[in-house]
Amino acid sequence: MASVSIRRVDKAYGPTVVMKGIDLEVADGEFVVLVGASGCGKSTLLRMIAGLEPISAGEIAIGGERVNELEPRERDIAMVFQSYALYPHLDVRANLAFSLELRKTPAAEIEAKCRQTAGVLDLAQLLERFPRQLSGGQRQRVAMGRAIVRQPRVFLFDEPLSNLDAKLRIAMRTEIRALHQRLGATSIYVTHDQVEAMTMADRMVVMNGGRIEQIGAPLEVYDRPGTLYVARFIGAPSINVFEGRVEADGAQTRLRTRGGQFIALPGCVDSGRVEPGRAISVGLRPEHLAITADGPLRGTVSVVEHLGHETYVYVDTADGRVGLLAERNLRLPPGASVSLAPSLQGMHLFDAASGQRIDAGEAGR
Amino acid sequence: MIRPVVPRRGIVEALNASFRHWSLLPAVLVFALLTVYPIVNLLRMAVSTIEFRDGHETWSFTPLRNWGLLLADSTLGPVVVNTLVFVVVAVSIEMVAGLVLALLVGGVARGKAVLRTLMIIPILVPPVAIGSMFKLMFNHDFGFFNQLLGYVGIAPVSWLGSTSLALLSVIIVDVWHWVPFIFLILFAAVEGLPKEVLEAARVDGATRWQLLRRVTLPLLMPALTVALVFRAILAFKTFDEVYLLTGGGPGTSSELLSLHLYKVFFEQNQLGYGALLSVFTIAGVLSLMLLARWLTQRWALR
Repeated sequence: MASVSIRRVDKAYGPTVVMKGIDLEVADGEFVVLVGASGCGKSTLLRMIAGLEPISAGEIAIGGERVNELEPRERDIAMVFQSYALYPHLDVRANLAFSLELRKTPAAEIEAKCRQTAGVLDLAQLLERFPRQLSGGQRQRVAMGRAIVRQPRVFLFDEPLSNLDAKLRIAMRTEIRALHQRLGATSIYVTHDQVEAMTMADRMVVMNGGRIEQIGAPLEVYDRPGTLYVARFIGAPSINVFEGRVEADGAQTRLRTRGGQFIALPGCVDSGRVEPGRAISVGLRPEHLAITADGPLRGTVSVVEHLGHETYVYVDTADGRVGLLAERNLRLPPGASVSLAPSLQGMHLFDAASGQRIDAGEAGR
Repeated sequence: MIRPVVPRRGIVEALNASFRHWSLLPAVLVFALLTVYPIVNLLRMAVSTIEFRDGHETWSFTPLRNWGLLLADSTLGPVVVNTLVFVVVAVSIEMVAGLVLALLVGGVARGKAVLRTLMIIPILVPPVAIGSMFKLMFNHDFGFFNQLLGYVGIAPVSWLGSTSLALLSVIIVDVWHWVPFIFLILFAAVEGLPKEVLEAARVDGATRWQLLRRVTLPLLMPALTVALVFRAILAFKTFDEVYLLTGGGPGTSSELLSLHLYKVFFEQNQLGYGALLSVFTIAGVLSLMLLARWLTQRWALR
């Protein structure tokens, strides 16, 4: 087991810089998830840690040892690929044994380790089969087995569940997490699926456009998104954003939205958080909007989604469609007029220009 | 008792139902005319003696005579040995060179298309041009190869005129001509290798050599089999290069099966015996093809 340090790493293809100044510390035994939309650089970062992609500047260290110049095979890492990348000409047993054979491990030890791994992943019945005789889920398990049989210092996962159907994906998600708790191995996991990131990560790293937007524990990131991008990316259904300008209303301050609605911002000016005239965006998650008799926001019901354990209502307002978490048994006909009230605690303020979060005491800086 | 109603089908329905069979007819005719007839005719020739007299051809049924000629043909032994040596040596070199080139070009980051185009130029050259070109290059007095030997201080050798070198010279030309063919097949296969599998092997700890031997080569096996078998079949029938370069000589030192066939047919006018030899050649090639099918099926099953 080992820690992974990424210090001021850049990645450029010729003159095109795609990543700049990436800093990330992964502690020994930690499960870190890199998450972001496609093309954000998360897979490239993972491949740079693996040594499959050279880095243009900076340093990567595994277990305190600089690995920039080391070949992938010298880094003592294991990687699970999205396509599983099983050796098609080898049966499951040989796939598991491959890395051990390359290391000249004694045959008896290989056999023992393969059997043990097959037991953990429920592969014992499949050892004689070839990859093309396996289902997607079984291939995925073999890919996992090939990684854990080696007992490497670091596990790297490159969207390993993306090719599975939804049900299996959720099952494997739990299984990988349970496996990590058993083995305690340092793991770096790449996904575009924010639910996967939320559910699996000790800490998640939200990436966008070759930069790290925010690093934090899932709930930390969910509760205090550092940028508007993170706020929008994390959470499903996604956060509702109201753009507008801060204005004084007598003793109160409020946001005048682009759609001409008003959201009260009590205390925000007094605390120095925002000043009148500033363009900001207010983010409200679905659970922080409620249907009330006389809320400040008005609209008509568009869709009501009953998920069983919870119900979401989508309302068309002057500022576009907003989603909110409603009482489970709520029944509203489409087209009904409703008014909505935001919860003050759930309000996230972002600077309109930079997208950065605005916290108390930051105004005028 | 109720009799089941059998629907009566009119002639139009019958034709409609069998239309897809009838639509094969043109293809069947062409096949019969162009493939079946010549082969049947060849088999007929193989058991006959055909003579030309007074502007007529006369066929007589003499199977034993043709077999007798086969057994009495003293050049046939050396010719078969030459052919086997030629096929094994030339095809082996071509396979190895083609594979190395395919792997090298496959590993190049830029300019793959240009390199590939350059590589296949030899296939585009007409065989007759190749023959004349290399005849000049093998020339004893001013040829390229002897000049090259001259630079390193070796006396000129008679490439095409000595019994020990003639077959080797033909092999050199064949290698130059056909490496691109192997390269092309294997290059396509190399380009189609699953990238992530190779990366997985690198992460799993494979050195370059282990990667090649334990992953790349096994994955290339189907393409290698196809290339080997096709090339072996073609090499078995090589004619133009020998005919143009050495004419099979000196003596029979570079005479291959196809050239021998040509001589039997057109110089000795032994049409019946020639046909019998042809049947043997076809049988040889056919067994190679069956071997190929068996091998590829074996690989497809894995």
